[in-house]
Amino acid sequence: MSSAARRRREIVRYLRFVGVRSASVLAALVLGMLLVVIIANLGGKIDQIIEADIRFSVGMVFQDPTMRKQIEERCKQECLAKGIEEEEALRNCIEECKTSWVETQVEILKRARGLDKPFAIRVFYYLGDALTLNLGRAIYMHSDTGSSRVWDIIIERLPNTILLFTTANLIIFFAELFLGLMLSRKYGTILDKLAVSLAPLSSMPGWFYGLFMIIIFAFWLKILPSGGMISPETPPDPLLRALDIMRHMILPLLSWLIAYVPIGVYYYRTFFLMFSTEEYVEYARARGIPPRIIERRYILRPTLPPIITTLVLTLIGSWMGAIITESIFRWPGLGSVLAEAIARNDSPVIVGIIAVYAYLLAISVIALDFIYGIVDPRVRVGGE
Amino acid sequence: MSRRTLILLRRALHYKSFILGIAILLFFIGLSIYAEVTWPFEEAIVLWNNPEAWLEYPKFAKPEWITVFTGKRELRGSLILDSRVANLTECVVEIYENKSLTMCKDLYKEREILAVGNQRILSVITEITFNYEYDEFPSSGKYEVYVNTTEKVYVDLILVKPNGLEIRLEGGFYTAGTILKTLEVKPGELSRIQLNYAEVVKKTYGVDVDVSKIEPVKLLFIDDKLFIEKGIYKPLNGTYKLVVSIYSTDINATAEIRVLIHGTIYGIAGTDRLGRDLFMAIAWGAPIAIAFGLTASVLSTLLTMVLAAISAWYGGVLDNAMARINEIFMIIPFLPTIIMLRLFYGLDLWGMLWIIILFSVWGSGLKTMRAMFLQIREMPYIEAARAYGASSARIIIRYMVPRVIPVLIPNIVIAIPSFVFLEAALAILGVSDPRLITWGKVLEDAYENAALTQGHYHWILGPAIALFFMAIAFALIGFTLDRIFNPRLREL
Repeated sequence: MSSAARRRREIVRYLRFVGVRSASVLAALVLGMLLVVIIANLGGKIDQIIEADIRFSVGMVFQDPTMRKQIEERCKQECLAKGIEEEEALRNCIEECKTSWVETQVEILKRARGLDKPFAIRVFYYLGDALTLNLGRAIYMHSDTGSSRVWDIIIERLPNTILLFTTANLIIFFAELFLGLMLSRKYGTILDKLAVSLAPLSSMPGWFYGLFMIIIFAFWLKILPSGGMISPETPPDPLLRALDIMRHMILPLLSWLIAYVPIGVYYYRTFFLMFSTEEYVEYARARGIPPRIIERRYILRPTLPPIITTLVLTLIGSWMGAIITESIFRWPGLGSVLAEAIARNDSPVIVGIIAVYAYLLAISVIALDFIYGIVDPRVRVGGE
Repeated sequence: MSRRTLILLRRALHYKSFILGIAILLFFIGLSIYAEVTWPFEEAIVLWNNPEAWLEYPKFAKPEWITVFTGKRELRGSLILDSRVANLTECVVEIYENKSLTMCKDLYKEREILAVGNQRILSVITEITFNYEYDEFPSSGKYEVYVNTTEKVYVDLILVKPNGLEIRLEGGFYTAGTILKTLEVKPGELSRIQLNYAEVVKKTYGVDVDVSKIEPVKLLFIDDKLFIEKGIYKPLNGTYKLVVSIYSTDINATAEIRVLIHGTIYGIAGTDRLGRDLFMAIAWGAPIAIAFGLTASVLSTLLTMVLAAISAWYGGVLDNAMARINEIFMIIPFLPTIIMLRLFYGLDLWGMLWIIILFSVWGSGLKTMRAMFLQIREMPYIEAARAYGASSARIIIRYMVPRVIPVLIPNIVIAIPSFVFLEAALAILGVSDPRLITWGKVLEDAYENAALTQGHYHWILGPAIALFFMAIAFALIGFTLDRIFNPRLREL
């Protein structure tokens, strides 16, 4: 077989693998979302959300003066036709006619959105809404631009979350990997023992260390801000703003480092130690290959797939833990939106966030498979 | 297997970290027993959720032991001056025609009927003396005057400071009943006490003072000389006297007074914004945290094991279906979904526990365990069992499960804190159980009420340190067990 043909077959295999995995994950996404929609609507919550959304859009018609005049005029004609001429009664009649107009409109739209259908069918309408991220309107909350659409509220905060927690996870990942590799070289030294004894620190989550960080650095030493993303007095100069945001990122990053690096270092150290006692590594050593090359080619290369899995899994996990860390540090991200939605009992926002998170998780899982397929040839061969 | 486990457990006692973990855990168990004995469960919940029960406690009081480090003398709890419950055994009572005198150690009461023109007027003068020998101001105070009459009364309430300065707290006509006043003042408003203080100082020392920035309760106890001359705020130590004069046309009226001066320290853990004893919350948080964490961890790990064993043993369609379900649960966001369920269906803590277990069963843990079972399945002894005709159930329960127990036990212990913190996290988001007392709820209450910006660090540090030690205890035990049960790790 020529190398070009083999290469082509490799690519076809990879694409088939990725295709199968993506389809599987997307199916899981649809089913998961369906499950959420069913559970959420058992108490009729989504029905309420949709109805509120419809009422809002019907009410918007009256915001438009020409439309309002038109409707009022039509109502007036109707009332006059009924023979009502006295002013008071006429006004009442027009009001009544307007309300009934709104109700008919709402009914029509409800029918259009499937609200009159039985529960089992209605759920699929909602599933469609959730999958197309048609998330309706918030009851109380607004985005900074003033929109009450759930999608706008969420999308506005998403970049902030990604900024903080992608940075955090990348720093944590490389710190763990580097320190773990370093300690595996220094197995048995005091430094190694110290690192091992620090591992229990990771039994506490990042947000918890955040409390202590805030007390120490913001309130006791008063050198760093206690929360938020940017100080209001910062001038609009982009460089200064960037520096200020970085200053606000220090404490959340620090608390995540303390919480998640120790266990990672312990894990990688043990992991590398196990691999470095493998026979083929011993053989390489016996052949006199320099330790740096042994590390790179004989230890890091075969351990790459599980390492990448861990990276992507932590990235996935960070969406979750971020929620509380954000409320502790008042970081204006997705977690803060959720906290606010809970405080104000804004159910459309809560359901919307679940849909967005589910998408993010699905994308992360698919991305994991993409990378996995590249770094680990075995998965491509097996098809699964 | 149980013998082997016991031997391994005995070996664990050689590890200092294990003993330390067990010691901390035993402390928390002791604390739980103490909590249950002191405040039985239902009583504790009612007491904790009833702000009325804590009115006599100082708000935001720091823990008592803090004075060991600061070296300051501070008022512990509240100073309660009650004209009704004064120690009457040490009293001398003298009764005259129109007058009765009650003289006690720190209470002096004079009841007299005066004749003004042709009208008879009752005058009751009560004097309560107390010592204030502290370096810190009281945190706040309130007073109640109870007059038992149907007619109008004139109430005059004066505090005589050790230096003789007289400050009027109250003066005016009241209709009968209870007059309840607090010494706190809304920001931007001036209370009668502040105005009167300025007036008295002007009269005595001939200086104008700005009283708008000092709380009334501080003015009552301030060292006037230091304040006027140097602008220093320090409490004046010595014997204070509270004089309550009541005049009424109803000569049968009775008048009593009760004054509460709230201190700045209380108990082992201090108090919160309602004056609730935080030690009670910390003590009661322990059994709830242990019960919640242990149940969630044990049940979810065991269920994961069962699912993994079935999936690995039967394989095929079942295994595939399980993998797909696992994928679904990996995509449904855990925390927001629990929050949604809690908000839409009003679950309590135990209801949430089941949901949390349901979610925790799935995920990467199931994948790892399935891989482990797949390895075990191919082992010769399983083949031997199959050869002698053992049933699937027997092979899974008797031969496969025992093999993963050594991995399982450390995992269960290590996972406990994560569930305790999950409850705390839910509490911080405001979706915990509305009635129970948990550490997370105290944290949330403190955080919501800006405990940090107000400087009430003990309010956050108390439950936080409790959480910290509980997590460390389980982590130390879990890591040691991991080393013992998995010898491959022990060598490294």
